[in-house]
Amino acid sequence: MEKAPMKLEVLSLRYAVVAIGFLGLAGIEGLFMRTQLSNIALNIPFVLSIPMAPEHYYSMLTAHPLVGAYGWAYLAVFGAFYYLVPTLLKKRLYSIRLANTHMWMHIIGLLTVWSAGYFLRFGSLYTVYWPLPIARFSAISVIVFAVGLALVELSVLCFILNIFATVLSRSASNLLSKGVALRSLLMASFGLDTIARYLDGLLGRKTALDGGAKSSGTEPLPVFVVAVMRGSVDAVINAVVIAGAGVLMLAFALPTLLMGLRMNPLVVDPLVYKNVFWWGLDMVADGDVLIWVAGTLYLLAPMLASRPLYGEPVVRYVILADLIVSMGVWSHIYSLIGLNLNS
Amino acid sequence: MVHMEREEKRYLLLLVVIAVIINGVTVAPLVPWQNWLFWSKPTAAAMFNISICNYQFTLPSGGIKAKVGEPVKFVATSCDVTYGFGVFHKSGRMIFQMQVLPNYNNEIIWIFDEPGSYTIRSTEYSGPEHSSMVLPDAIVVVA
Repeated sequence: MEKAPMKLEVLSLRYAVVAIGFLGLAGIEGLFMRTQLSNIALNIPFVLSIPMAPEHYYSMLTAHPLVGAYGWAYLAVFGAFYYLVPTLLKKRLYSIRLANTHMWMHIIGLLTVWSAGYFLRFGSLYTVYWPLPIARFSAISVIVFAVGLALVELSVLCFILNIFATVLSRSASNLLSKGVALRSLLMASFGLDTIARYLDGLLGRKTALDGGAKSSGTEPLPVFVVAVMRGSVDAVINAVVIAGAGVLMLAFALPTLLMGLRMNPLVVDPLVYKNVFWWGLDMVADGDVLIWVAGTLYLLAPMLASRPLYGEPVVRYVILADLIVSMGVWSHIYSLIGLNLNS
Repeated sequence: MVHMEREEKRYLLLLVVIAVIINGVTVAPLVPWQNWLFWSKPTAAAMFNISICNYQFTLPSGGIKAKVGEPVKFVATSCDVTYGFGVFHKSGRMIFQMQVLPNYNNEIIWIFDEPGSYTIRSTEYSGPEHSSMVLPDAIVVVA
């Protein structure tokens, strides 16, 4: 007998439970690190030592934000969006199986990252300035950390694929061709649909957003969905950049572990690396913490207050402005560091 | 199609004005370091080379001495990882800092406005031993 597909409610709750588990782990890590300020002296060989050695303290300080951001915040958001996006758009989730699989990938990846810190003392902090990982920590700890990080980022990409595929899937209420739907969706994600309609109105042209029809046609996507898509752009950049840093670490640490070969890490420009890495890292704050969370409030506030969202068009422009500003952060960091101004 | 009310247009305009003003202020010559970097571009009266390797600072053999109100240039280099070059007042207040990246001459011009001796610390995490990177009274500023 064929098994009935999992309900979205169950999937969503499963994510919530795992997310809360990681929140608990992050909390315990925080308490553990704060014992450095106490008079406690405790030593359980291979398990626990208070006060912690500097290597242990900094390795926990490295794992802590990763568990907090990717374990708690990301999984809580994933769980909520897996229920909300299909329900709001009245569509089926593209793949429940993919959603379940990448949850496990995420859990295994994060626990691997955590183990690299707790057991192998990998402690480059979340800044991971090049060539700190290669110069100061064992090759095996670098490899375990990088593999765990790659699994987590792959999981993030699976989530975004699942959500994009769900939003773009055709249904009875969405008869637009795939090309028009994608264009319309991306335009709305960046808040450009309103500007395009305004310009088309000025010039008296037909608008491509309406699939060639001048009037009615496509309704703008709900702001919540626009925020999900916009946040997803940042999350993809974040995942690609952070996973790229993991691949770079592997490229240097694997030859050391397997052949005893130590390559000069400074063949990679630390400034270029830092700027690209921070650009990707900032996207966690921008995409997940800011845009996804704001999008959820844009959904909940009107629903709970039973009135339309105030300034909805402004919100769309602000989402666009945030994208431009967040891209500007990279160029800002790059241009204002003030290195070699006179040489 | 989304229609924008007059009140919403005003709100959007207000946000744009606030963004322009705040960005304008942050690069204005009112901010001392922006003044030196973008506007007045002072010439340094003295230059000090500081090298950092394996958690150790190496200062110029004659020490670091500066005068109040006189621009001085610090050039810091690293042989291995990224460090920080932070200068601190006796009270513990940080006066300025810059990152020290390997492969680069990391430069900063500063004008001290108070005499006294200042402490140098690494202000960037460079590995588990970074917290030991402190040089008390490494810079002397005279009136």
